[in-house]
Amino acid sequence: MEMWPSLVHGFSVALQPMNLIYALAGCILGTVTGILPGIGPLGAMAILLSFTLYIDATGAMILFAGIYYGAMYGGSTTSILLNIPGENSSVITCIDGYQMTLRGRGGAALTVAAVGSFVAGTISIIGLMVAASLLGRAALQFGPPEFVAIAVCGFVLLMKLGEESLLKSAIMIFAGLALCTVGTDYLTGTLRFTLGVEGLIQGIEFLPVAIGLFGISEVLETASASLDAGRAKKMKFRELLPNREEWRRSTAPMLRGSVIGFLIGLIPGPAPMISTFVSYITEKKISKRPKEFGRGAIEGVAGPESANNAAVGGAYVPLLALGIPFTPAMAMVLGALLLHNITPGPNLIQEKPNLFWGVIASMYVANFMLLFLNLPMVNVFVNVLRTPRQILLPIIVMLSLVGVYSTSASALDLFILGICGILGFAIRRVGFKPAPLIIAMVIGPMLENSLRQSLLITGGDFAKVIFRPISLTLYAVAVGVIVLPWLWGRRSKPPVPKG
Amino acid sequence: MKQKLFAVGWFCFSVLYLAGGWGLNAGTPQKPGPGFLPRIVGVGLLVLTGLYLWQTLRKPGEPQNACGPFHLKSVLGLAAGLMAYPFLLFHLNFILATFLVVYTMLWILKYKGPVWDSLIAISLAVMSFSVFALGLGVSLPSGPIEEIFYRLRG
Repeated sequence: MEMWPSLVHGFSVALQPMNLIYALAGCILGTVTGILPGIGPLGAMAILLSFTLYIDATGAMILFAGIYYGAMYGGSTTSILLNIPGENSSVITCIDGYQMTLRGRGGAALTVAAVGSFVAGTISIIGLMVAASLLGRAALQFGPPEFVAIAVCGFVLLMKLGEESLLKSAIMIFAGLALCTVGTDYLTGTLRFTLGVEGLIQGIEFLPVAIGLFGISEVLETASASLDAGRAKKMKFRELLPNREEWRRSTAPMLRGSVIGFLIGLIPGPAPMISTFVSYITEKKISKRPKEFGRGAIEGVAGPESANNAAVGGAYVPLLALGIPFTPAMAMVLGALLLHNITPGPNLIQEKPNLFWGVIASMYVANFMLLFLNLPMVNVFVNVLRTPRQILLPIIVMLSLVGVYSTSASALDLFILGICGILGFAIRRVGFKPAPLIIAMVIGPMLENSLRQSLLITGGDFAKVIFRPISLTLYAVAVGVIVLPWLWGRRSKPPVPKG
Repeated sequence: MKQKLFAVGWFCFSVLYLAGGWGLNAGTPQKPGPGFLPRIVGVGLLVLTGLYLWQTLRKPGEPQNACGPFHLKSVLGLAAGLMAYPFLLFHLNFILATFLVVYTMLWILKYKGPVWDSLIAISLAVMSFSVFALGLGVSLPSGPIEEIFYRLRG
């Protein structure tokens, strides 16, 4: 299928009334979760994961894409107006965005953030179309050893680029792998780590673990902090218009941020957040007015806000082309696909063109919706912050419980949900992040299958598994990522003075 | 103290996991068995958690409130509600169990008072039953109260 006719076909899917409703619902939900501090898009996606069973796979994907994009837009609103980052990817926007608000240019900052997000979203979708098609075609040549290498390289990058220490990330990845070994071994039928519990014979379900670690633990985290909400002043439509100078200074940062964000989105780890930091540093370095940064430089809003949106498109590439999620949000998307018995991978474009191109087209649609929805409704969305958390939190808990119960009717899954929620909250308090665990839990079965198949094919020869062109390159990248910064650090250390 | 407790917990988990994995047949490199990956993961986990334990025990104790303020009562209340729900669901059925858990959560989070809390809890229980059981056809644990709603629907 050629790319442009396929995209036209995708639009015919995305513009169907029900899919438009899913996109709109996703955009609104995403914006609201992006605005509310403590309840992020991951929590929202995790909680809604079980409800996607009641809609078709394409609708579920469109809903999730809307949530993810909406959260990126929504996070910037409270960052700029209230200095409250709704999302970790909008933390950097607070620096200059809030300073602009204090100078009476908050409306202009909001518009630049929205337009930048739209431009970046569009560029990253074009990147996604091209990269996913090319990578998908190339991946048809991949065998089990290559998939082992991709998983190992992905884990190493995830550890290195994660928000926590290398050791803590590694522990979480191994814990995730440990969890996915529970249940019946698919090749021999042997029971593993079931502890005599009948409900564990099928293994630990992804859904209660994901909802617990992201949804419930976020609720507990929010409940543990102050329940007071911020208040923003009302924004007039006239105030939303940037002046000519602001437009001129924002254009190049938007384009640079889009490219930076898309490329970082391809790498495992918290891509939207990292991309904002890289974009901000880049803009500051190449700016003619670096001293303005931190005091309300429009480039400090345009670049990062474009980058975090572009990273969303980038993150979809490994999932849609290889079937491997490298970010927790993509693990949720994969979870939703698996609930519909769809395994993404190199054949997805050929086997499910409706789904693939429909989702890509709906991303364009979601970007349009967000641009025209968010700016005129900025005052409405900011009022979301006034919703009493005391009501919101029990509702989210109940939605999570009923959602999990509705998919399995199992008391065990409800216990797993509770335990994972409490565990997720506790591990966050000591500096662990649940994202590597959930990604490892999703990639784990693929890693185990590929590893065992590779060894069977090669007669147990590890050299034959490793020394293949693609695999060796990926292992070299993994080793380089660990060793090079360490060597660099040793070389650049100043000599210790004697005595 | 929290870090140390966690480090010990992680280490115990990895010891137990490795012990469980060791009991499984790992097979040979030519024909890996069901214990092949668990053994690799178990050894890796033991080494990593051992390192983490060693690091944590060597470090001086973390300062008080290192992780920010902590409203223990709210967290414990929500967590208790969460863990109690599966028991209540199968003994009291959906509407009553949901009402009790939501009411307790609202009371712990100090919303408005018993009357408002009860009204919100009842509304939430009935609305979620209507949406999930009557609307989406989810089979929720039902008793006499739920029967009334089924009859009303006809």
